[in-house]
Amino acid sequence: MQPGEIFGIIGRSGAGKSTLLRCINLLERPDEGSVTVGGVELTRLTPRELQLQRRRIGMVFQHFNLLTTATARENIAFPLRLAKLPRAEIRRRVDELLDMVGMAPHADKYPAQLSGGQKQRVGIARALANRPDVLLCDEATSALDPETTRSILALLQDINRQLGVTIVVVTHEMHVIRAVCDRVAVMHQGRIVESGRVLDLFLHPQHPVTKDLLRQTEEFADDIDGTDAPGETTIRLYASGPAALEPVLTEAVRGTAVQAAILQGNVGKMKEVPYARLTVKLSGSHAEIDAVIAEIRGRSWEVEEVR
Amino acid sequence: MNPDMILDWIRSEIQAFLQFLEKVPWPLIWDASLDTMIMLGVSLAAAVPLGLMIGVLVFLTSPGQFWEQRWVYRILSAVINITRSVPFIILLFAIMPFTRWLVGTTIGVKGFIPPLVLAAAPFFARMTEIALREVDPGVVEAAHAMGTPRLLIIWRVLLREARVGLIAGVTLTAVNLVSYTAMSGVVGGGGLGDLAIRYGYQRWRPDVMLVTVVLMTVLVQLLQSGGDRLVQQLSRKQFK
Repeated sequence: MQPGEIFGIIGRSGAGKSTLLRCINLLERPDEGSVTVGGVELTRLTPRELQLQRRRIGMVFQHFNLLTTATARENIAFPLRLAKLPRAEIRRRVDELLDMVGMAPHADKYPAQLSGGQKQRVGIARALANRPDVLLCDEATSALDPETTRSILALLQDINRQLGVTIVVVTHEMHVIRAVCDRVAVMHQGRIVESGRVLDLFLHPQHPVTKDLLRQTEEFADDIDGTDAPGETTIRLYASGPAALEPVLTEAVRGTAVQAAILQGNVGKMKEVPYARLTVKLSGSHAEIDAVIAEIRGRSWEVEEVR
Repeated sequence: MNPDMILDWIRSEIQAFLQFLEKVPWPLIWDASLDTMIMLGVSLAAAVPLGLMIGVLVFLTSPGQFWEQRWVYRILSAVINITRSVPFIILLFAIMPFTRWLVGTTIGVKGFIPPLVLAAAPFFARMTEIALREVDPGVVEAAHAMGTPRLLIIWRVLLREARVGLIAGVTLTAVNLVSYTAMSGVVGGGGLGDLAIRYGYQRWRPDVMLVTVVLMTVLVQLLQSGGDRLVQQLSRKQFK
């Protein structure tokens, strides 16, 4: 993983994604191999050294895991007290964190008096208290409703942008990956089966598990098969970046007798990068269809025939 | 029957009751109350920390916890079960050599305190273990992830989160101890229960019996409602 990026790990439940995440701060110790975070090989440390290193790695949990006997303020202060900061310093830092996550008005409430989203904000503030380099999010939005999920994801993005914290997000929801991640790894039965830039993964998934996961997000489901009559060819076109915004299809068929019908597709932006993904049925002569496909490819779009 | 007759009757009954109470040996009652409070106070003060330590140890050495030690867990658990299954009156006699070694005597209030502690500590240890099991393991995991040293996890997370259950456990232990103190008479220990047996029963003094029973009931009520109030106060915000 690269410093400063938001990296996603996705998979079905039981795929081993949480276990992988928990290996990063050695809550789970791998049977073999090593774990290195920020140049420090954690697997070699003594328990005491590991405790100190863990303070550089924040963690956010699905069920928040806040102390029920402590207020929001006290929960956020917990890691700061561990670091033995002076009292005044702790107070100042906690106020700062409360502001950052928008929880200042609820500072003295107990977790039972807060909503799920508010609890997660406290959890995030607590995880950030010691200015960690890495933030691990274990299904951080899975217990929240869609609207709260959006606001928590927006908060994570803000944090990533403002503080430059590397964030690792574990989720089973594709839309979470799509909303915040730069790169993603797909896990299946304890292994990473595919990984890369999020856009690439969405536009042309390789592994069957990835394709399966993409069916969650309706617009990326591929459910049209090439059942072509003679003289027809179904193709899929992809583009990302500025090319996606150009009228490639219209220009490619102009001046030919080829007819193009869009069967399925979507155009949009993912983390500010425009993309297009279309399933198109071309009808016309073989030669002309081949020419059209070549033309589209020439404009840095990718084309794949559907059979 | 007219109302005056009823009033007269009530009046005479009250007078009879007051006469009945007139002969109550109050200095004896006072001394016995004091003895009961001393036995209760000292044994509770010793049994709670002792039970707490054993309870924490049992919990942390149990499977899945961070000091997991199968044999330590099994042995401790067996010791708790054994001491809890021996009736107090038997335990009292059975550990006399130990009592003599510890406090130099097996009689009187002093000789009665070690068996009280030995009976109450395992009970409170079990209560502690149960209270700790109620703590959300996720919170403990979060503390680990934050790099919390284990002793601080015990102190600032486990015991803190379990405090409501622990207080309920102390209350139950105290109430148990009150009933154990009633058996101190067999070693000449004194206290309200002893008074009830020697005066109330053996000397056929129903007035003494009544007063001691009332006092013990009041004591238990006070302990229970005090504990309940504390639990309520602490859990009001914790559980909304």
